[in-house]
Amino acid sequence: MTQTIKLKIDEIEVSVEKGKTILEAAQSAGIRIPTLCHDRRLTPFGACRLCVVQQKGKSELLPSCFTPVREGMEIITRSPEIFKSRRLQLQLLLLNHPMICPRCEKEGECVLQDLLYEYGVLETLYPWERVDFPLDEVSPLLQRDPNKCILCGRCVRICDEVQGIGELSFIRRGIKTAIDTDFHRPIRCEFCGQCLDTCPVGAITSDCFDYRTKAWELQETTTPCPYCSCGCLLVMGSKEGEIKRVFSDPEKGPNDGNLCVKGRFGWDFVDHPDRLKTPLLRVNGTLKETSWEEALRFVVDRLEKIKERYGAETIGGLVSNRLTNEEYYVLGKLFRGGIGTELIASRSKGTALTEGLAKTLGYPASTNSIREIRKADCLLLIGVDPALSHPIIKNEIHLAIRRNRAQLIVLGSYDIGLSQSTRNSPLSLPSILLLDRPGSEVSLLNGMIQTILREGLEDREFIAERTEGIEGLKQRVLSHQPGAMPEVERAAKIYASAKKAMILIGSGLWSHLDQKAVAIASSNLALITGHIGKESSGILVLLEKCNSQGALDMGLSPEGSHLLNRASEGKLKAFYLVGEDPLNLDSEPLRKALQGLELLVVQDLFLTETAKLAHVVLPASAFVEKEGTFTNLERRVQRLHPLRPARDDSKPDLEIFLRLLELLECRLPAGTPEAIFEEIGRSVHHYQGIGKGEQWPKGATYLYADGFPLGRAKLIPPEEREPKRQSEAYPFYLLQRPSLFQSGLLSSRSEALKKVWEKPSLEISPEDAKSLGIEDGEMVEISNPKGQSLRLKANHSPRPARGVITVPYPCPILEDEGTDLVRIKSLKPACRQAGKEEVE
Amino acid sequence: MTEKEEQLSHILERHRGERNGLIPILLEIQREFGYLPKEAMPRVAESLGIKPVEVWGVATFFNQFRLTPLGRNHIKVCMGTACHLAGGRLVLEALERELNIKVGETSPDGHFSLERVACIGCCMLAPVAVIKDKIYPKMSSFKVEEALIPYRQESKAED
Repeated sequence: MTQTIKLKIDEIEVSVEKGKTILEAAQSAGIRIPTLCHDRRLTPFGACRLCVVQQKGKSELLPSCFTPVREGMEIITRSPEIFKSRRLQLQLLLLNHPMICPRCEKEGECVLQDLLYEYGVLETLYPWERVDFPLDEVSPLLQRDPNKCILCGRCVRICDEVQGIGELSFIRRGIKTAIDTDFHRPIRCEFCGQCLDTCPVGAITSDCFDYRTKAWELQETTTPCPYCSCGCLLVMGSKEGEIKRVFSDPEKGPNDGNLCVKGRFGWDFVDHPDRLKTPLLRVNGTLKETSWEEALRFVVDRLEKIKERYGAETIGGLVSNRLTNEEYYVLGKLFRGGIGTELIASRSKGTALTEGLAKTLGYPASTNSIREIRKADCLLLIGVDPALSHPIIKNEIHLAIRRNRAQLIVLGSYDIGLSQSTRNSPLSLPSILLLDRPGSEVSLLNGMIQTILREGLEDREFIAERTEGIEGLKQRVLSHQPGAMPEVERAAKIYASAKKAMILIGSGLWSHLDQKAVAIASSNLALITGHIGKESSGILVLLEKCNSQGALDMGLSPEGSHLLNRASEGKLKAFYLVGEDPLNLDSEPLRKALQGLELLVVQDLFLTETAKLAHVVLPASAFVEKEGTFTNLERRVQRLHPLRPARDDSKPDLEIFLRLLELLECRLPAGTPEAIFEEIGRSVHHYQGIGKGEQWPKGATYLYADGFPLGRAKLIPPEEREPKRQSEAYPFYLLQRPSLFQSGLLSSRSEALKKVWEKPSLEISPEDAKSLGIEDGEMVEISNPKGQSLRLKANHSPRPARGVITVPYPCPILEDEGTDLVRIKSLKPACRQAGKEEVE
Repeated sequence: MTEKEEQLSHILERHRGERNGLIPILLEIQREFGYLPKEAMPRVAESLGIKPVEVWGVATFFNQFRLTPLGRNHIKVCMGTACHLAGGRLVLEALERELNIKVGETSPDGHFSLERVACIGCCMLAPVAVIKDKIYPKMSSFKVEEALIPYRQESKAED
């Protein structure tokens, strides 16, 4: 039980938890105390001294952000002494602050400006010649003016404490102190812009934000981010339908006010000049502009003809995981009811993981919430690098490591930056690495389970009361497994004895060979140790796209890749693609198959490679132009708020589907997104009664607190598949690592993100590189058994396991999921020879 | 690997795994090289598992750390209370003019560097300057040029 403490602030009775500060107590009572260096997300710093308060009857000034509450305190936040002190602090801040407010980017929302106004401070008491600091105007996305900086240290702290990057620090001392990078070099980091977000003055700005529109002219719209499945809420400032900038509200959404580079800067694709403006119809071989009526009529006529001639099972639909729940629901009706086919699917990575969880636990979803990660004390990461694919989750993990001294265990074929930074840090426990070739995840997990069962570390009570199948699992795991490696044993012991342990399974681009088995093995591990159904104990599946979870919930099949294979084999006559561009990675058989279709409909924002082959191209609206809901990976259903009507002649996907249903003369579901959401609530049982921003099933921040929907959770011995074997000729596993700045169709259309794209490079472990004689930074060629090859720079990296090499997404010679075996050829010493051979 | 790099690796190796070794390492590097070479700092950061900017922050915070190499003839001018009152500032300014460098800098040819220090413990001789290890008592701006002559000749001979 946490102790509560009662105190009086400005004669108001306040009771707060023990350990809270006076400032937090005051804020909880709605009493405002001015601050500059305080950020709720950071540990108190006490630099600005504006938050000073007094205890009744004492003259001493206490920094309220730094002073914990004590029983019976009587605090005064307003008194002549306090005002005098604050005024003096402000005057001191002005010592080196240029008073150029009217042409400052922060004008109108600058905390310093507001406080100067409030306290009537005009200028500094001690005028002198100001120190002039050099600016940083060359960094991409973020620019800095240290002259405006008030040295509150918020940027330094958020970069270190929350992001775990530490790009900025205090440089020099005394009056010459500035916040800078080492040697004043341009910024080279994750470009999350958290420093920009937290800066109370205009010392950090971004060239992607429009600073010509004043803060008070901006209309703010809160809407979920269209990128990964974290579902961060963006507060988009816009004027007359044009987005000017993006921040986040710390009080709303799962992201605690944090955003990553894609969320903060990657929205400019919505105003890309290449966006489709009108529907296009193929007439005599070329795409011509047409009206909606004509285009949709064409689609419906063709669909009906094809259905009549070849049957409904020759009609398929492939949908991206960026549509809203309402759109999936209506699309399901369109395909199942209107056309009569079940061939409607999406191909999101990681959905097979949730399927595995549904088999053992009941719900095809993550069990816990994102914000619970920071309270866990053991984190097992399987095949995912959240720093690249889900940066907000990386922040949470970093907080767990930093503030909770959580033990990080990395299982997979590729080490992650987070674990590397724990290795030397005095602030965290060194991570445990369980690296092996791709495909060994299940056997590593079984090794952990074996250790736990052998050593008797399992939670017997939990197993007996709430699970079934322990005998089968014991038999399989104890008899078939070879003895575990010592690291596996150590990891197993730490995981089993942790109070709160979470497993994070990845849907990163370097997926497992057998995702379902990995999910089952992880749920076995969580179940036998009782790490489920509790706060900060459970399994999170890091799904790929913003509404991957919603697509599953709305009954959309995740078997999109199978559908594409079907298309490549020529078994389809009509194909409806929504927000998908399968020809993005060139595939000749698929291209031929798509060209041979009788009807290819592409509904997208842009004229993609696939759209160029289509019979009909339908321009869809972007996420800022439509209504509906997204469900994030923690099952939180969040509403989209449009900030402008559909651009040009585009239409929200929902409207298109409804119109098609109407033309097919089907019974229409309700017409508005709200009404459809209500209908979803009635037909999808766990969406019942879900309000805005709530998690399903209603009120559950974590699942299975009071038992499993299956009665008992199932322990299923997972299939262990033998991983692909390396051969003499092809000795390396090629993995695709996600890129922080590029994740697919939307991010590749963002000019802001393009500024910071990384150059593609191959990562290879130094040992492997040495054995091949490949130097750091050398050009190499990799080739696979199919004869495809790729030339790029090789970098030595401590991250890949031996025998594994990684290239960034998108890799043109790799199929969408999984790994491939390749060989590497060094181009440097051999290039002259190779050249000669070719000449000869 | 050059000799300098080897020396650096040696220092870093000796402190490997010392989680609070940053300042001792920087001090040792300075003792070895006479200053903190720019190239050394990322390597210090790497070996301690901290960010380069943290090393840079510490290196710029303490006055003791030099970021530029010392001249072959390092000149210290005392600015303690006694020397200050006796006109130490004039001596310092005269040296600045004479050497055409500012305090804290090294002359482009690497022969001279100028530093202001607090008391060096011989206040009865104020104002005092120290060139290399030799103390010059009761200095004045007039004596500066003369004091530099032997060092300048030496430097010329070396060149």
